[in-house]
Amino acid sequence: MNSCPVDSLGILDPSRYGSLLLGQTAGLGKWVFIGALVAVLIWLIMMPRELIGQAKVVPPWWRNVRFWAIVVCLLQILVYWQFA
Amino acid sequence: MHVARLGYLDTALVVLYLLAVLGLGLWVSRGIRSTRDYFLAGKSLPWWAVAMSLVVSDIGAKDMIGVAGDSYRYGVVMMNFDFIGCSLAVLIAAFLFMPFFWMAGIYTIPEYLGRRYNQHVRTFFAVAWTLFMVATLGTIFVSAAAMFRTLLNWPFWFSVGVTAVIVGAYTSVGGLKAVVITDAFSCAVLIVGAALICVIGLQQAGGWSAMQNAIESSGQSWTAHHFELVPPVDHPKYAWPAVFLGLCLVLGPSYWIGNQAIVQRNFGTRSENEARSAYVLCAAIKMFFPLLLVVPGLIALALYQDQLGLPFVDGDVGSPNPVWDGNTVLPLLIVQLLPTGVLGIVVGAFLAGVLSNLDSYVNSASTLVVNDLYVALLRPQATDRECLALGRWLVVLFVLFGAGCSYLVDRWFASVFDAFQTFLSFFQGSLLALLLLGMLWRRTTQWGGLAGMLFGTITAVAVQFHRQLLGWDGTTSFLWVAWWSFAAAMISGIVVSLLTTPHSEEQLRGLVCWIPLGEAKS
Repeated sequence: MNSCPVDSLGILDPSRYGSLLLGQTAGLGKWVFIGALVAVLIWLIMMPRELIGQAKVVPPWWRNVRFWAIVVCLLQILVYWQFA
Repeated sequence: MHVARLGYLDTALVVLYLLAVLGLGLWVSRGIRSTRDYFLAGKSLPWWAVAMSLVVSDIGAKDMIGVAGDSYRYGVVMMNFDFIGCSLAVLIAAFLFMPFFWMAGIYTIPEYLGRRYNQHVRTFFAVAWTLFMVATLGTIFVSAAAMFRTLLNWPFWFSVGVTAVIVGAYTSVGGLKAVVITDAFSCAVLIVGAALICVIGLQQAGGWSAMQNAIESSGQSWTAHHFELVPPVDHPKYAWPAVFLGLCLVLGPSYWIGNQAIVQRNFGTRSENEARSAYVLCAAIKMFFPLLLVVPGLIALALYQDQLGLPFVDGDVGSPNPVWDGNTVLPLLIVQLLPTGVLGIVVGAFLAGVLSNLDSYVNSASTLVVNDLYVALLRPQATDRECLALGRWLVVLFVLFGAGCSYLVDRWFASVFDAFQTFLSFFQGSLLALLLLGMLWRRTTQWGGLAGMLFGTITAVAVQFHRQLLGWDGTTSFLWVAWWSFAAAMISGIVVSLLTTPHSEEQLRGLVCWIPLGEAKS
């Protein structure tokens, strides 16, 4: 067995890197994934209207691209919440 | 290996599909007079067509074949490539990056990098993307050949030749408009075909629970994590920290923000809002693809493991079986499962994946070479007519290069999906770092960009090959290659930028998010 010495530091080997930095907590991965999606969701909700071309007129919800982006994000959160 | 016999109905459906694509492609090719028409479709593309084209530019034959093979090996973890590896990145691209690129009026991503940093950075990424696209064309040809070998018993080179001729015909003539409109049609066919495989396969397996029981009750150690969307940290290939850092934070965003084949469609939309809408619709459609692509691999594992064999030596997930061929999983499933009529639709769907993927990549590779290498480096005085002719010839040339490259891909990689992701990981980390630093931090200098590009790429090569070079055991996942390449590019880019003279606000106008084109001089 001629293993990579850096593996023992957990830098390149996935199995060790995960345990070294983020612990062996079984459900931690799920919450990290959901956390990333929630961060994007908050960013989408809080984004100023003028940055998405809605400074003067806000379109009705069915034509509002921000609304549909939020729906997609929520569905993704639901997927990881339910199945991860 | 079983070989399917296409019935008259199947053959008729396949021929009908091919004629429809060819006819549609040639019909929308009328009126192309300039490079703007050819490479950006005259900025006249409807957003829904762009969205569907985005889907099939990403999901194609290589994904149908490759993901089925990898889900057979690794399970539902492969869904992450279309869930968190896509939706998060697409939404960020839609609301942060794409409108900005669109307003800048650029043809290519390297063009932006050239304006923001310097010509060296532009040339490097243009060459890197072109080489990547040729390699990707190779993976697509291999996917097509694997399917045709099983379905029609065609030899490898015959399959590659037939595919090359069909796609070359309308892509070289019609440019981006032909590509996007035929892609939209192909997207619908692809969804129907992939859904039929899942429905019929699950029926045969006795439903989802029965399929899961069949896989889990086999008691094999390599299938222990097959139904975990977020696998544990000791997973040898897709440990969740690797999926999160490598895929979610680097490969996904880099692919959806910086891949010329992806973003070029958006440059062809009518307005900034349509570009944004196209991305959001794409994200919505893509939410169904994890099921459509991954479930076939699981069905094959539950029903045909005795014929497909073990992907690992002695069931050890760390020891891939060198003779196992992941590219045969989907073809065998199709041959075994599908009745006449349905087979024709699924073959049509597969062809849709082949053609839409191929046309997207050859069109974009041609755009890169004409815009970022030929005009930028060799002939700045080139006329529009000359560039248009060159773009068309390059499409033919790239189809031929890709066909040649398919032989190497077929010999070196157990799965086309693995091959595709490995090619991507070499420069995606540094590309994303340069885009983020360039667009979001005005202090980034051209030397910082150059340092980020060099250190990021060197790190990717070192992490990918250090084990082989030093004689150490094991392999390093491409997800870690991407992550460490990104980290190295970010750090070196920031450090060198802080040590060098910053650009003036005038130089950065329209290139950094906080200094838009229309802002008054301060």
